[in-house]
Amino acid sequence: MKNKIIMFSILAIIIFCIFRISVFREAALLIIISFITAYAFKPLFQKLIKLGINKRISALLIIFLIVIFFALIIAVLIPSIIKEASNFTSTLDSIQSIVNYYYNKFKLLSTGTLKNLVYSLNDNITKKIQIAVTSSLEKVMNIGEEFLSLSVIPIIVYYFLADGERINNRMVILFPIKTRNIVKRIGKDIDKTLNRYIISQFILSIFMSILTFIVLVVLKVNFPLTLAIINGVFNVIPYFGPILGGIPAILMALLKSPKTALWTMIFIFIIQQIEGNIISPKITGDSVNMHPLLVILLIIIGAKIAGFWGMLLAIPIGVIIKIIYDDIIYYMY
Amino acid sequence: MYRIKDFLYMDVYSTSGKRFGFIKDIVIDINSKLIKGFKISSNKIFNKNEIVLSQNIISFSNNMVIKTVSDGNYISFSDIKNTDVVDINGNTVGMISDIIFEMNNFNIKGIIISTGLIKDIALGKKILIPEATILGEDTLLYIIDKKNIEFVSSAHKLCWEDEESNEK
Repeated sequence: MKNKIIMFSILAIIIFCIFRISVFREAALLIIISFITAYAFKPLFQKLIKLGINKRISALLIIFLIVIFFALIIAVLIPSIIKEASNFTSTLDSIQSIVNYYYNKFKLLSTGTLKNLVYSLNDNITKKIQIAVTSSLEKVMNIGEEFLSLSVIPIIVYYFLADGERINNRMVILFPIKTRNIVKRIGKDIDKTLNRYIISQFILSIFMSILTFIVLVVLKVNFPLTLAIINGVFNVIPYFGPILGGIPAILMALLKSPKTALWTMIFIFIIQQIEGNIISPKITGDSVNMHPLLVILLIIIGAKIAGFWGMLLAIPIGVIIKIIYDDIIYYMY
Repeated sequence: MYRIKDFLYMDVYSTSGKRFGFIKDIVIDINSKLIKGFKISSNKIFNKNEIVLSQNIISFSNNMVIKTVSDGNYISFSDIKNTDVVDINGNTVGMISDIIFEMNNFNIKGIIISTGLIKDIALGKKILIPEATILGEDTLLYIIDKKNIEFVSSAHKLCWEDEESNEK
């Protein structure tokens, strides 16, 4: 018994140190990100292997895919952000002039408190928008600084994919012998469920992206490709995703004209309905068996912790915890 | 002897290697205490639930090989899961939580009842003999009045597998 206490306390101290010392923390974060990326692409990797391609070449292909994907995103997004940024100041000015116009129209409302209220609201909104824009630009610049560490990620992903089996076996050795059997069983269950979840979400996202792309191109909205991809990616998040994904598209359409925005809204709504009621239940099937309230709660917690990525990862993490709980209860009786 | 979890999400193949889908539920007939087959969630677009009847099952271990799928409406386990179990005096004994069955003759050997989350941990889940039960519309009636013998599956150590639990 005493040995166990000593062992656990040493383990706890090690983990604590890792998270405290920033160097280790960044390394650990990189490894976690690479692991999640590698795991997300594992279904594709296994499909390539089934087609007969060598393990290492498949892993190489996949990281090429990831790198090219990100390079494309950067090449497409950055010019458009810069272009939109210059539009932004003019939009802010027009918002300001609209507020002034209405304020002057309703001169009756020029009592002291109401005037202050309107102006302070206006100030707040402008300030918030400015902060948002500057912070996002800063983030983009930060990514440039972190380039060295980011470029390590594809390499780590390659090793996780190519040598995944070996790493897995080594990891199981970490656990005490008595628990290894049940750890392996839990691992297999988690693997099966997450595999299905990832494949189904991939298919859903691609499907939604294609549909949104067609709609946006037909309605002649700007940046159909980026918006379609955003909509597809956001669709992975169960209940909030479709709304959040549709908003950028509708905003872009609004820049063209209110009528296009209305049509975009209607079409996107139709697409979400088709996806939600017909396709998604079929593809996701019964893989994730969680009560909707629990799902919403998880998404909210995920959003609070880590924003967009939190929402995306909240469901898989919830699924993992549920599987561990279910398996322990099952094997305990 | 198997429980439901051993079969859930098992891939189902035909003898030619074609994948039908995965098992998502068990089709049971409580009143004759038999497993009629398994419900398959199929890959195809149309939403029909496919059933594989037990006589069409060829073999299974990590995956299942079957002859052909059938169609139809049957009662599956998820329909009766968590229904209340009452005894003759009207007291609620617990909720249906799982079943124990054999695969060589598809008999249901036992019904596992959960008496409550905390009570489960303390006293273990109860096991009922299916011959002593009658399935009603929304409850399961448990007939045995004199509790001379009670079957219990109590919480045991997860980690070190004893010889008794090494049957698979």
